[in-house]
Amino acid sequence: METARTTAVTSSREVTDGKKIRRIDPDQDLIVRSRQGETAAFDELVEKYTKKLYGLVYHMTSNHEDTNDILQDVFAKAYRALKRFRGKSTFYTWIYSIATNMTLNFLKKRNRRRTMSLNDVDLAIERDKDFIEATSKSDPVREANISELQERLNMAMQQLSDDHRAVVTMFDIQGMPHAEISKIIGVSEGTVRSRLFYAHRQLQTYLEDFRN
Amino acid sequence: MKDSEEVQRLVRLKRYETPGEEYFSSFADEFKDRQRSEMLSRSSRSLLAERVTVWFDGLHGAKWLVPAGAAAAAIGVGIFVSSDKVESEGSPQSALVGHVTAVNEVSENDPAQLAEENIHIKLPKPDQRVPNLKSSFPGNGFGLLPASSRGNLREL
Repeated sequence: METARTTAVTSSREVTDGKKIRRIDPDQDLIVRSRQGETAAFDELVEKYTKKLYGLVYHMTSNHEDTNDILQDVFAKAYRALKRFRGKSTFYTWIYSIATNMTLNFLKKRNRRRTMSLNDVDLAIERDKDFIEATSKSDPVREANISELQERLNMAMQQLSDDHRAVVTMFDIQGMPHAEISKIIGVSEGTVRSRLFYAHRQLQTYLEDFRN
Repeated sequence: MKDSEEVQRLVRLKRYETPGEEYFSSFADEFKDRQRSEMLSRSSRSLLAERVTVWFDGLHGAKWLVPAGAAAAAIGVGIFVSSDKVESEGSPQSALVGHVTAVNEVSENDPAQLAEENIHIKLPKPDQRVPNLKSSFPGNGFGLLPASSRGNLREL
């Protein structure tokens, strides 16, 4: 499973420069061109990362409209901050960090404003073809009502704390390795594993009915 | 452990929750519009500053140029200021200005000179101005001296 956790998007090429090993960002060319004012180059970066970032933000907020607004802000902020991007991490990690921080800030504000209600949880995608296909093929949930499963999954996710939901989203849903998550969130790998452990234990309770 | 894996498998199903391709293409268009309108609203000065910053950032291999450039600029300014000073000291106009300044400085700072400005001259009364002059003398009301004494005074 761990091997599937490194995608072509994230992998950076390593180049030996004398004794030093330099990592080449796969987006280096697009970054340079964007910094020089070529908006088309940044558009390519937007198109490349929208889907992945959508997944991250959506599964943290469970609301499509909020996700759309946050994503627009994430890319706008990234474009403005691009001149300060020093390349210490890959662009992928950098923009993921921006998206994670902005989403966590948004959730803090939203939680202060009101508690999440069922109406806030977006269930519009419950008729998604891929989802239905996947659920019907998987043994433990074959008999389950898909709509109910979807609802329970969303509600279970919303029961987690924002930090725990972030690691579950990145690890379980998006398939990112622990090391990458720790870089994005800015905590140790141990903390990532610990958060995952407690989050899984909590989810087991909420999803008890669907596990058998 | 097995329970945990089952939970993970269930949660992993959420990765299929994704909007259609139309959404992503319209999202990109929306972002482009927003980006372009933001750029248009920015002033040309901020755009120039950004371009200059980017250009300087591009000089990764020659970062020493930044302090060197700053030092050269400082030296240039220093030379300009000092040459301007020498020039101004040499010209007559500037000498005059210098003198006036000096005078002003003295007049502002010297208390004796300040007091001098406030001296009032007290003249003697007309009948006391010339010794032994009779008050009934006809020319007394018209001038300081009698006609007879004028010659003497001239000689004085």
